Amino acid sequence: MAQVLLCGAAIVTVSMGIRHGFGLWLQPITMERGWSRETFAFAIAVQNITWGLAGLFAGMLADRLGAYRVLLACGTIYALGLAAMAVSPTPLLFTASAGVLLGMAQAGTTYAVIYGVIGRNVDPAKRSWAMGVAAAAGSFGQFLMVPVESSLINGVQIGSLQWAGLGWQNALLVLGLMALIILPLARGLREPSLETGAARPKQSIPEALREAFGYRSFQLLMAGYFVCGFQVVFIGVHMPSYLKDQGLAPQVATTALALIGLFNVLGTYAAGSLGQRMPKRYILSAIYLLRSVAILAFILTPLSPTTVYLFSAVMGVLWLSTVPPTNAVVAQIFGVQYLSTLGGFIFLSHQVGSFLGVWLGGRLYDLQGSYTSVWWLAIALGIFAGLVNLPVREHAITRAARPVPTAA
Amino acid sequence: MGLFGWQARSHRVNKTVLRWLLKSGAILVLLLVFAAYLNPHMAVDLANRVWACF
Repeated sequence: MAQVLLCGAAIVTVSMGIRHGFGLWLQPITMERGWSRETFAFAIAVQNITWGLAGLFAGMLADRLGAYRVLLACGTIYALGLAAMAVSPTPLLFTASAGVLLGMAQAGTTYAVIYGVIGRNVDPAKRSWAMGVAAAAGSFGQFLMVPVESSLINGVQIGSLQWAGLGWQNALLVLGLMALIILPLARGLREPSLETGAARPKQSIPEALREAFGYRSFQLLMAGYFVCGFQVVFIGVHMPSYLKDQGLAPQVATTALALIGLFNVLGTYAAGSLGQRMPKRYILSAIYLLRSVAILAFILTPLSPTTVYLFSAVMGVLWLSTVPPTNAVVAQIFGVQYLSTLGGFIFLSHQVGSFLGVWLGGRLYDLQGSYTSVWWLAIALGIFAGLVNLPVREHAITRAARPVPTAA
Repeated sequence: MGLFGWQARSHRVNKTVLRWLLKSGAILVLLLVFAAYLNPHMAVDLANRVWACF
């Protein structure tokens, strides 16, 4: 168990961490290539959609052939994608590398694939905790890599010590090398019975999907995860602009991002640990409802650096804390055989929510000149998600026994 | 019996100490990363990049 957990957590740290700092490349790439910001933003949007869509196939492959092969392929694609991103001379090639290749790479090296292995190899009594550890590792990667990537591009100064940095292109190549760490780590997640085909599945993938999509609790979990994506990405992308509109100093925005990152690690771990002790539907419901309360308090109280920091700390605790309980409930209901596949579908719903959170935030801002209606929409969605998670049934689904074939 | 009891208790104490060391180490690393965000050079650079997006 320790090996699976350590290797899985390390892979998620690298994979989630590298992608989290991509925004730092916006300025240097667009300036040097003479592209618009829309070109860069489009590639990142394609990356997010590809991540969601490719996640379906990565999950199915991981459940059928074992996560090891998927991790080897996607770890290699990650490194190649980063190298290609560094040298892409046209917007089309940039979209193909930063968008499509890196989206595919993330699909095969993040939560859905890793959680399948954790689910199959960790005792159910510790599963939610283990998922919390892996998710906290991903959160830590995000938190860690922003300053690391910024230092790689621009250098760093600590007291009288100064390092000039590598520039944006070399920094991407270094990240590519860093992504290759996934390959040796993947060995720790080998599942020989899956890789050799010795484990005969009791269900086919279409049967598992039909069962899940026909089950009300799965639909409710998907609806909740959609809201998670909407809220988190809306706040992550649009909050700095909101703070700027309200006349706050830029350092307030960066400290807010740091606080979200710090508390996200703690919150994600805590949610996974709590999942061992209490029904996960209550944890999920509380997370979504508390998000609504936090947003409501944030927009109704006079804005100041203190309220921004408080809001960031609270939202940080609630940020990715939905990930371990959601996936642990799926494992509890449907078993672990197709956990990566089902996790991939749930994650797609998250990504659709993310897309709408970013797009609708910008669209409504352009139409109305303020974010007020989107904040209220985020509050309403949080209440909706809090309520729909309450009736989720966490016990294992009852399957009819298959007829035993008899000899003619 | 006495010896085994002492060994079992010592093992438990070691595990507890190890757990606390791990937790303290994790919190220390988190605080170090947080301090990196507050480094003046980094803070100004990040703030400029974030603001330049809007």
